[in-house]
Amino acid sequence: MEFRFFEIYREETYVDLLIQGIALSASLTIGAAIFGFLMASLLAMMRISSIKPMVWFSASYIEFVRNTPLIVQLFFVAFGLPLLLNYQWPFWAHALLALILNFSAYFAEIIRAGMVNIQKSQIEGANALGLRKSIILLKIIFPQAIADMYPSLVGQFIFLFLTTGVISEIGVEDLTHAGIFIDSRTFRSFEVFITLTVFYILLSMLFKLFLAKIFPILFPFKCNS
Amino acid sequence: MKEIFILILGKPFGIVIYQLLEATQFTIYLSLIAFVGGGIVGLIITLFRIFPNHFCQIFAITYIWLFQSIPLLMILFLSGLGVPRFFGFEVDPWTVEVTGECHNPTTFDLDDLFAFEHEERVYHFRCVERWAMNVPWAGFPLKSLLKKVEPKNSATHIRFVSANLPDQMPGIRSASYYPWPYHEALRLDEAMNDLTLLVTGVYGEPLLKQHGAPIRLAVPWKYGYKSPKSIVKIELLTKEPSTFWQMQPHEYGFLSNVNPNIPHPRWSQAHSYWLDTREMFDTPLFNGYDDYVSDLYPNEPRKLQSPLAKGSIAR
Repeated sequence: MEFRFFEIYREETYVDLLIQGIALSASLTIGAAIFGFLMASLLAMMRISSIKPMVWFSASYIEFVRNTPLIVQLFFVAFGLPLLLNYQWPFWAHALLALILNFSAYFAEIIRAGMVNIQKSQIEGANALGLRKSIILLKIIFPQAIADMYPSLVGQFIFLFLTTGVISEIGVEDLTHAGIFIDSRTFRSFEVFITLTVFYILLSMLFKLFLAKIFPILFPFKCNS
Repeated sequence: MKEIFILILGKPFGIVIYQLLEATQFTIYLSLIAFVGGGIVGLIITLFRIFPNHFCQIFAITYIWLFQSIPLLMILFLSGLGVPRFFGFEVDPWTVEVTGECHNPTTFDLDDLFAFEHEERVYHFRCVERWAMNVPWAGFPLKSLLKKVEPKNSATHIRFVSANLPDQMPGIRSASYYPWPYHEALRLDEAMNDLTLLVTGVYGEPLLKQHGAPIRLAVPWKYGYKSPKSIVKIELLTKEPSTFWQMQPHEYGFLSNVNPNIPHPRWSQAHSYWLDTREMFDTPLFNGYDDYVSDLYPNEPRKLQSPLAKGSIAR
């Protein structure tokens, strides 16, 4: 069999599509990760709080999202919610919302695990120093939990990034969408999807590298040895 | 099962629920297979990862890294499209080329063929080797395809060529002495008869490979071998072509109509038997389609003929 990669890069429109696809995939993933992380922190704190309705809400939300496929959530957010609540957004916004909701549940579970595993002595020490409960949570438990769970969070983030291809199903012109478009024009399926695979691998390596580099900046207390 | 759901939940809703449940089965099977298969492969990779051999460990690490960095969607596309090509399977779309004596030579793809108005017809089927059955074909008359390509006045015969893929069709490899690809032909008036059906489905489902997927012919008043399977080419010709079995010594000739009065060179055709029960019955003339096709054959013998002598030309 012969490979004809030039079929992809000889057309300027295809190259443009791929570049735009990479940009959109990366920015949607990053946006979803940031907002998802904030939401996940909130969910995790609700889950370990002592107020029962908050625990129930958080637990059922996390379980619901983790036990349904992303594509079903995507369709619900993109086509169900706008009908129910009567609003109209561009497709990328629907996709971003769905990804935020999806990411937050997975992150929340990891953050919760980190918080639960903080040593009792840390909290007892903070209590002995007379710190307020909110300060203990935000300054003692939360940063250490994130630092402990950093590798898990990075792994989960990469895994979720690799699943974002499904947003092409609602017409968001991400990297997968660009690939399917080019494939349907050139019929060079194998070449197109090998190219896409390489881009996904490169992007996830870039994300991993970046996240590894900013770890000492974010958590200097973990790197003083 | 479906009826029970309709009975309890009403017409549209019951069907929807039933079909969702039916589809869920496949999700569960797929997950189970992936779970068991993934477990086995995972175990092997784990063993490689801890095996005290540098090469094995590097293989395992590379494998894990690779499949953790590729989106599932990409693995799906690549394995669906690429791996079969690596092993030499055709993944090009099936097309049927119609050429020869016509005003609009056309290459039809499957979407074009399925776009023809389909109907289901139960036809008698009679093999030259005397077994018979009734088959619910789904398809469309060959006539409607021919109307699209507009045969010229000069066209008198139509020839069908089947796919010739020895890599995927072991029978072609093991019987290489036959004149492959399989080819059959009809007179144009036979082809334009309402009964002549291009078939894309059987028993309410799309054709399977063994039934001649994706498209085959059904000519119910002729022996089975006049209904070629897996057609890739249709040619309109100005004279009678020779056909696959006609070219063999001691077989029937071009017409090959089901007729109890014309014995096969090696056996009588006076009786047929149902394939399932083996129950015998008298072979009807034109396989029971006498009223529909007898006009085409004014000279068809209606009295018993003597078996064909060696060397004479069969009908």
